[in-house]
Amino acid sequence: MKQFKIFDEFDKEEAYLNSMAKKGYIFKKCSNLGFYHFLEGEKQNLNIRIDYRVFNNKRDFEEYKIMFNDFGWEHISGTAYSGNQYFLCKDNGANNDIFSSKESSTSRYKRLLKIFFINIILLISYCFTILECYWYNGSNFSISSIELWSWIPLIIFITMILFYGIRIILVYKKYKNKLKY
Amino acid sequence: MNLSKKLPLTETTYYILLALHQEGHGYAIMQRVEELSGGKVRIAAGTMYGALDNLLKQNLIISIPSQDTRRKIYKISTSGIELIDLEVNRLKNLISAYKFIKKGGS
Repeated sequence: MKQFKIFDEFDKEEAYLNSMAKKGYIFKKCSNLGFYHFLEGEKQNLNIRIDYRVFNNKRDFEEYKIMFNDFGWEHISGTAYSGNQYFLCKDNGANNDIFSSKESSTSRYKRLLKIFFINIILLISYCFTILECYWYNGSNFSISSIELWSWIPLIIFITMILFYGIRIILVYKKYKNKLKY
Repeated sequence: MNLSKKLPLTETTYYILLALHQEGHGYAIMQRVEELSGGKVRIAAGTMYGALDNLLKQNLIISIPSQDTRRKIYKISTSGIELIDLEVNRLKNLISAYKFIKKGGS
């Protein structure tokens, strides 16, 4: 089964995955577009926790997964570049967490905001590059002189900028709240 | 970089730096910290990974070559030793102020 969801808080995402396991839907992976894949199975209590980290090389990513495994957490979903890293507690202890301090738990939001911010800056610079190309190609620059299909990439980029912008605002609000308590 | 700007240390950082006077990988550090704290401090996986990553970036610990290619082995650096000495001095001052008040000083 697949479900599409977007979360602005890690705690809520963890609670969602664990509640699905209670209903007999075992989380398998999360695709890049935000689809959660589940396998049907026995109703059970699982303890899934989420970290946020992006890796520059495969070796660091492997080392990261091995350290979590040493601590009793199996890596179940996430790639070196995906950001969200999903871990399943191997001994099923419901109270086990992957964070033992508040600061380290909150620092996930800082890393996520940083990546989103880089993405939005990249997207904005792509948009300007595209506009520049249009400008040079059409000697009489006007919107109507450019074929409709050539606007598609620009429209996609602008949609993505809006999407990231909204997410940055929502996540930043949560992050500020977490810092307070 | 002025080391005293990094004070005070978090409990996690303090114990990791102490434990790394002897080299070790992530899980071994956690076990040593648990031992050092009399079972009171159990550093979790994500917290440990983040702390080691930060300490490495600040050159307070170093990663040393080992036979185990799958796990990084860490050790405290000279500036790490300097930093923990600064922290212990800070803590000593706090404790002596406490003792002074408790003895009824004014």
